[in-house]
Amino acid sequence: MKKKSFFLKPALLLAASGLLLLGSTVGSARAALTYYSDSYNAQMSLSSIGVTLLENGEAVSKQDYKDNGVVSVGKGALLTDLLGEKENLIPGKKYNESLSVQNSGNIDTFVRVIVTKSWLNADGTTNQELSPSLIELQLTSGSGWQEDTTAATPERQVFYYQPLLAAGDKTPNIMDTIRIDNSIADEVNVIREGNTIKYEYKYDGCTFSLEAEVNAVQTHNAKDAIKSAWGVDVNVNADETRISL
Amino acid sequence: MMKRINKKTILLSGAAFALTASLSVGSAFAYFTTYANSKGTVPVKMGFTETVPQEKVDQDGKHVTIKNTGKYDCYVRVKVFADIAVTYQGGADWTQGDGDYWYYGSILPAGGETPELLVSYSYPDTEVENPTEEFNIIVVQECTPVVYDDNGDPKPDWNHVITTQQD
Repeated sequence: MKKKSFFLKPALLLAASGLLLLGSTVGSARAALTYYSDSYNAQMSLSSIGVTLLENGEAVSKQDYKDNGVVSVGKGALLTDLLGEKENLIPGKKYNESLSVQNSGNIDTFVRVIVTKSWLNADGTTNQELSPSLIELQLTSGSGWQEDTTAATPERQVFYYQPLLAAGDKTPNIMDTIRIDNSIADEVNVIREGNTIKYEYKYDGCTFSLEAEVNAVQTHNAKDAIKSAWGVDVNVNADETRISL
Repeated sequence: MMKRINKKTILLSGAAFALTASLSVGSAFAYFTTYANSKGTVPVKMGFTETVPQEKVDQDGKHVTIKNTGKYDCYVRVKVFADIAVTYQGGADWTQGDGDYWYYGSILPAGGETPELLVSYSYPDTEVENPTEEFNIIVVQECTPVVYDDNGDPKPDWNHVITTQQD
């Protein structure tokens, strides 16, 4: 009987898979420059996505992915300049507070912003008596932002910027001003001390909170990308330059 | 004679297929996405301020000013109760309004003081005949917080007032 020294089929299959694996890595080697001079340096720029949240035109938070994969993250707080030094917030008064978005990457994106409002007690716990709807945002109109009213709650509003946001571009403002409804000043406790009547506001010392999150996604294959990243179905036009709810 | 497929062959074939198939899986679900977020808080400090009337009396009458000694801006108004006829001079800053009060038209900021409201009077003839008779001129001043209407314009809230009286 002839002795079987080698399994021919497995060896062939193994060699084939090895070749396929090797072949998959050849592409980048081919792309390497084989000749260059000092005068003709070339740099390959890879696609990188980035987004920046702007408050009153200034960057407060950003996250950019660079060519080498490093993430650039910057984070600041909102509302730090809402009041002047020693200035008290007055219910009913409108304060400048504009939010917008900049594409800080090098590819076009679609963006949305989620705004969350709430009230806090002096000890930092959530105040359940005061409605977040008392924190009024003056939204802009005709600026390309569309609110998803089906996702809106007293605490949360979601806004989609309909046009594509090109690399480096900024959106118009989502909102211009913020205002605390003056009805919170209607709740007054009366204190009688002898012949003197004093008043104290019931909600003196409460704190309101505003949070904004901006999401960005690629424009290529936008419908599937948005569904995958944000979990919502949007309408995308044929050339993928505009979305709508 | 039927050839049995070697177990090793099946395993190697499966491994090769899995390796090659896995090369294309990654890109099918990778989308470029990113996000940024930020948060801020602002305390709402509301309160009623304190105001103090200040008076100087001379031959022209009572020179009344109101000083805001509290921490919050306010509106103020003044009313005079007198047994004799009085007249008022306050220029454009003071105007007579509801309830016979004299209203200071501007917001009185914390630490601020109003311009003068001069309350003049002349003694009746009986004073000459009976110089010991006394006439009281009582100045009542009230302050109220500044509130803002739906248009964001400031206005007083005279439903909540703090009253101070001086004889």
